[in-house]
Amino acid sequence: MAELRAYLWPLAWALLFHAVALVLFSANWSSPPALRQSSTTEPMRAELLTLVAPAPKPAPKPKAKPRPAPKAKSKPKAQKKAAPAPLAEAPVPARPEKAAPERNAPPMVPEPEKPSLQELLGTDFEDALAAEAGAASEGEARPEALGSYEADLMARIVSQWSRPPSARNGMSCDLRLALVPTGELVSVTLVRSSGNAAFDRSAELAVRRAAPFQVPEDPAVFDAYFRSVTVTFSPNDLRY
Amino acid sequence: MVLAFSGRHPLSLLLLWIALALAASARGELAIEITQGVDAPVPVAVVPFAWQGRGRPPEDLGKIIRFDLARSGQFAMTAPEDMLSLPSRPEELYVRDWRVQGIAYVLLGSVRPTESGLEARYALFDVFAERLLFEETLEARAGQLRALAHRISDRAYEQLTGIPGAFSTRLLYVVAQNIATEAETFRLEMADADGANAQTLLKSREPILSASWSPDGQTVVYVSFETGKPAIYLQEIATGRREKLTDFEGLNGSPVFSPDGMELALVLSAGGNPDIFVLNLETRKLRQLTRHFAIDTEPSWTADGEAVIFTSNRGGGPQIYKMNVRSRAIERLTFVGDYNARARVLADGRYLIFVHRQDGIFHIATQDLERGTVQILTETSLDESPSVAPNGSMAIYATRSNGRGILAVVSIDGRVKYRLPSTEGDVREPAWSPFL
Amino acid sequence: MRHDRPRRRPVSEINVVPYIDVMLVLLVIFMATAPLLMQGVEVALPAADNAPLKKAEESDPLVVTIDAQGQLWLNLGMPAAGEGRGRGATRVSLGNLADQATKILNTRPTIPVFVRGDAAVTYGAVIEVMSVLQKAGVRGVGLVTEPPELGSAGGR
Repeated sequence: MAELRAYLWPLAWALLFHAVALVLFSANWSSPPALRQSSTTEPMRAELLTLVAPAPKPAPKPKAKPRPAPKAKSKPKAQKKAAPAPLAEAPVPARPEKAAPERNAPPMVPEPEKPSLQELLGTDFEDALAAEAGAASEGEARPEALGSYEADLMARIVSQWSRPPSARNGMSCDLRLALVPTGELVSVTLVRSSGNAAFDRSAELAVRRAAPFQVPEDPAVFDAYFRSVTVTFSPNDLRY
Repeated sequence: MVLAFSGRHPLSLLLLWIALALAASARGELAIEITQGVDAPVPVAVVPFAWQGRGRPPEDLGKIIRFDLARSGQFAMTAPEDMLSLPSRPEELYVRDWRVQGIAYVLLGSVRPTESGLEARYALFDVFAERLLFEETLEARAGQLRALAHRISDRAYEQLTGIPGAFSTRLLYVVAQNIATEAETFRLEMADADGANAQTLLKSREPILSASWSPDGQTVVYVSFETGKPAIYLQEIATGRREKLTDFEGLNGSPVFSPDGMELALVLSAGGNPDIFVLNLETRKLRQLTRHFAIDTEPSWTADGEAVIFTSNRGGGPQIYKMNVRSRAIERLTFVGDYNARARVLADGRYLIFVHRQDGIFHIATQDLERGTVQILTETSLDESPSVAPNGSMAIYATRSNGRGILAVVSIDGRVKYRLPSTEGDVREPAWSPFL
Repeated sequence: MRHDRPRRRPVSEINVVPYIDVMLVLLVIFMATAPLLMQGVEVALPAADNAPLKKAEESDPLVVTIDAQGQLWLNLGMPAAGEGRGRGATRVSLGNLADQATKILNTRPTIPVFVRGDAAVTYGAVIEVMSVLQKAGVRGVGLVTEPPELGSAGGR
């Protein structure tokens, strides 16, 4: 009995420390808010960016497609949360991932986009026309790839367009945009006015705020389709 | 081949150019159609106006304009504390200071005292297009600084939205104090569209009702019980001169000027039950429009003066009807709900705004007269007496808050709502003036 | 009972082992958490093949330039006439930068912010600028470099 009693305290301490060690181990150390608060400055994300693209057509740029973009964005975030320690690593894997789908799969990504664009254009005729053109010559996978750029351009403008209260369904104006291969907007010209200056100006503002745009890398495609773009503004979702 | 030729003949160069141009056009540039938008408020900055006089300015014009434009709900206003620079002339404006904050338009200017009063020089700048939309000078008499600010707001609003601003307009309303006591008083008041500069037009111990404006904004008509029974009065705002128009037996109510200002639609019950009458203000001749055993009340005119809209319970419950003044043809307008009253037609003739009861609660609602769709604009209860701003963008109405009558404003699309500051007492029966 | 005493002593000495055990565990824990305690600026440093400047994301970024003398320039206001690094920018003090950045972030929280530091600028100067930007509410900055073949060897 006395022997056992002699062991009792050391045993209790050992058990206690093991328990503490276990608790410390199993505690969630991945997000230590307390530690962060104690530090004076929080870590900040910084990225190195090259001012001038080395070549006019590097693949990584056209993450225009709305779909790959959010994917790429969410990944670094998730990594950051899970393991804040390897700081330098986080953005690095994100980039190849971002670039990868575009580099090896330009025909794959745009394909799901195509129907939506055709819906937006609302013409089977153009669909057929595009298909025909694609069949006609070998380099004509382009008009399909164009779809995503076109959809992006539309989405950007729509998200910036605030119609003035004087706008009515059925009003319509045409703007001609002059773009450069970097996607920047060089000029906007009012080709056809709606007759309502505020409406015209709202359209122009939408375009200018939406710029710069994603444009195809291929200079030939860019010259053919994106050098000059005509945008018609004709709302159909207003009250009247 | 072609290149070899081009070296020798300028003409072949031209041909080559034409061929290239044709090839380009054959491939076709993009044509895109945008049919939707988001209609978010447009970011606008109103820079505090520079004061070019001695001492301190009486009030910052920029602040009044900022509040005006913010109330319209069309714009997201930038606080002056967040402005990177405070230019007062277009030459001092650096576009990138504003672009970097995403601000689309900048209104800036300065005020200086002149011999006769004040002179404001102001400009509206389109930041993204990097161009001056307009620059002009406005003068005002001393002490008219607020009016000056409202006029600038009007100009900027019209430029940016395509519809004239209604910031320089006025409101007419009745304030009742100490109701149901010995000291009960009623005041007919007139104030700026933002509720400032209130002045009393008439004070009475007996109720004042149904005030409304003449189309030129110089005269008001109202019902006063000052003689113990209802009578309709006409009052010139500037001179205060009053004239009693009608005090027939029974009801004399709801006087409304016709759009040409020549006639007055009103309700009389001399024949036993209330009917709509029209009083010619030149000849003082009265003619009866409706002749029905039901109650016909709350008349108002369509913008063209061709027809009168009124509330009648001839179909059982109160509904809105329209009668052509010449042909006397009657048409029922509202069919949604069992209570629709106190209607006004918007200037474009497309929408009707009225009091609508839904689930026992009174709201302000609009009805698209072409499609028949009804949209409830307000969430408050006991809303009454809608009156539309002359530019058709907003409507003012009376409602209750904490057991007190107050005035509130809602945009015609229902997106923007705000309350007007009220001093004391029960505020009711607002009427928005025409353009002044 | 009395005979038991001498036997007990060695037994109690053995109990040091759990302490060592615990110490090791604590050591491991501190090793694991040490990187988390490190405070500072998170920097992504891809050596040579940087991502080209993200195009078409958002226009009108705020660009803070730090020249070789450690002076700060912003792409705002009236541009200073042609002077090396500060070309097209206006000079600001650090306090000024904090003020301007706060104002901009208040109205446009999503604005992209770039820092263009001269190669000769000390690391501390860049960190100073970045911490000022952070206090103003900037979430992340882009460190602008030049492509390797154009600038002096290696990313800056």
